[in-house]
Amino acid sequence: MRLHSKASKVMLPLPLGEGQGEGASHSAVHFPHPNPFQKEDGTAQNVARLTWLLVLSLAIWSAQVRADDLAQLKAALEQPLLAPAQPLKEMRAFIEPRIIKMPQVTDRAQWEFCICPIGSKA
Amino acid sequence: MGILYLPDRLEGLMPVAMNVNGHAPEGKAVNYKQLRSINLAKRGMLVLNLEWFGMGQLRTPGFSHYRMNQLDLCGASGLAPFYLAMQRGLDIALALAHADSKRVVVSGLSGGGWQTVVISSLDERVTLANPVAGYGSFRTNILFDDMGDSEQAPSDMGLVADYTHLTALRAPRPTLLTYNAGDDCCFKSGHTLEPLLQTARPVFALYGAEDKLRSHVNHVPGTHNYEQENREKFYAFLGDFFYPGDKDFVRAEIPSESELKTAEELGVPLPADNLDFHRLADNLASQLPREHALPTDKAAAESWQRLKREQLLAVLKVPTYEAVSLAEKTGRSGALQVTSRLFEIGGDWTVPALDITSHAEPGQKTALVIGDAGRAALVGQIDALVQGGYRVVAFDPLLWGESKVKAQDPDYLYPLFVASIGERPLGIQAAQLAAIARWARENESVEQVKIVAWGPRASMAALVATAVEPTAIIGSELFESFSSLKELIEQDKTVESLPELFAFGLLAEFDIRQIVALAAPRPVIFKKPNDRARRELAPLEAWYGLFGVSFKPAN
Repeated sequence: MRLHSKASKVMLPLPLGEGQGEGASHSAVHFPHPNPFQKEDGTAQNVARLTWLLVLSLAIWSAQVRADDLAQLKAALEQPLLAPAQPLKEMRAFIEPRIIKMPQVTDRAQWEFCICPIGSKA
Repeated sequence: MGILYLPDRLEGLMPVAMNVNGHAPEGKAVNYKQLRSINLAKRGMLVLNLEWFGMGQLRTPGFSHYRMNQLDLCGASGLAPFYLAMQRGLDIALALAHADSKRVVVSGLSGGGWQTVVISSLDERVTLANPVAGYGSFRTNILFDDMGDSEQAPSDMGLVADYTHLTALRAPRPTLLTYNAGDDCCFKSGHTLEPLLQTARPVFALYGAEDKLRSHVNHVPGTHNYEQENREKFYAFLGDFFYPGDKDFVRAEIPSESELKTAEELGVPLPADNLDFHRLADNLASQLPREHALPTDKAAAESWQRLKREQLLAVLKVPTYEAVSLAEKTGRSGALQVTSRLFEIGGDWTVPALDITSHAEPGQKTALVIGDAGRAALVGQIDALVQGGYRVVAFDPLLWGESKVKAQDPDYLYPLFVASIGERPLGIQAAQLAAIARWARENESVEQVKIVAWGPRASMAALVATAVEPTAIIGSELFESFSSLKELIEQDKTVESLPELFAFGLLAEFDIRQIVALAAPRPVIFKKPNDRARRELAPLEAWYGLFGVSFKPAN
């Protein structure tokens, strides 16, 4: 976008009652000329104003886009990926096979041999 | 401390009873325990009503059971004080005149039931036991949300024994297992009792003592209780084995309500400098880690790193995992390309991840992003990294964010249970990070993988992963990290908020400074460090200098 386009081609909305002095006057009443395009320095001011307006619009648009991006990123990050209760199921599945088993013994001597380390480690 | 109840008449050898209590805040003054103690004394027994840590007069923050893990961190068993207190109670009771060492009973409700099975299975002086609604097998505990406090799942206990073993260890000594049908706390009879009986019965049978293992299910009131019906079953059991053939032995409750005393009346003076879990840990921590000095020349430093890296792997039992990316779905999220992945890790864990970039390109510098509160809480941080040109792989390792374990029991009990079966949650988390870093390097041709972590838990896992994976991880950035493990004790933290950080023996061998030293010369950056961090980590500037790098971890 060109920021230095001709001011006359840019139709800025003017406050009600202003701009009546543009071109030939059809009124006998002389209004102070409020049109900023009337003077050379006024044109420059208007370009600056326009520039700021565009920059502001761009900033607002950009901020809106960023806010939308962040909102979409947030939504993506919050989106569940795991099945319901999967961490609990995996935790139980991890622990259960690691639980120490009871020794398979058939007589007292075997049992006392197997359990001996429990007492010593306690 | 405890209260001794003695019969009016002391003569001959008299049975000894040690009454232990559970989580009743009134401690030794709770009515049902006083009534039991008075009743046993009236039957001619010497009775020690023991106070329990965290209850009654010992109901102080320093004795909170979740603080026993502060001792674990120091490499001293947090469980040991529990055991030693009971052992000492027996010493005292059996040293009394008239104590009959052949008739020694321990009984208690809930945590008292847990205490009963622990001391009575391992200390052969206990000849009769009646644990009441205090424990279950590891399997039923995990399946029915009956995990209990720290002491019920102590580190590494499961490497040696389950509670099924402890029950069987009672053989051939008389043992009554009491559970409540409608228990409103834990260990309902329906799922708890039978697995214990099934495993213990064959062992009692080896001794020809089938009749000495008995059980009782309470239906009135059926809640978590050791009220009159349960007590009368206990008295009857005592009668059978301690007073066989005694027709005068009273099996019904002897009304004693009028003799109940207030907690103040039962108060026992305590020394002003009485220690507790926290103070013990504080004392121990001041001397740790045992070998804190770092070598001062490069050759020794490299040798130290090799040795200590192996030691860290061993202390945290860090597994070696492979990460496989599954269920990939790629789409756009605004200006970003987002790929969701499920990392299958080690065949045990599924780690959910989002792979985010603004411009996908091979070999793009990559940040693995984790946080205590999960990936969903890191929107701004992730966005900033992406805007900085990073490809971000944001994921939730074990226990955090979407990977948090949600059940009836609090989530922090699961890491305790993992530690109880001999694993270390912090080691698993670090292994998951390292596996994903290797995946990025090997499958995505990424040369530079760094970890960015938010929160003390994530920071610790990131630090450990950086220390043990020198190839795939080029460094880490830690936000809100501790700078010393001693801060866990100084700030009186517990497993409720930081469960995986209380890894058994970690502080005995390493503080954070030593773990950072393992990562050098790769940078570990402590973001927004406080004065403590600058002080703790200042010596590492010289350490990095040994590797030819000018770097301060906490600048």
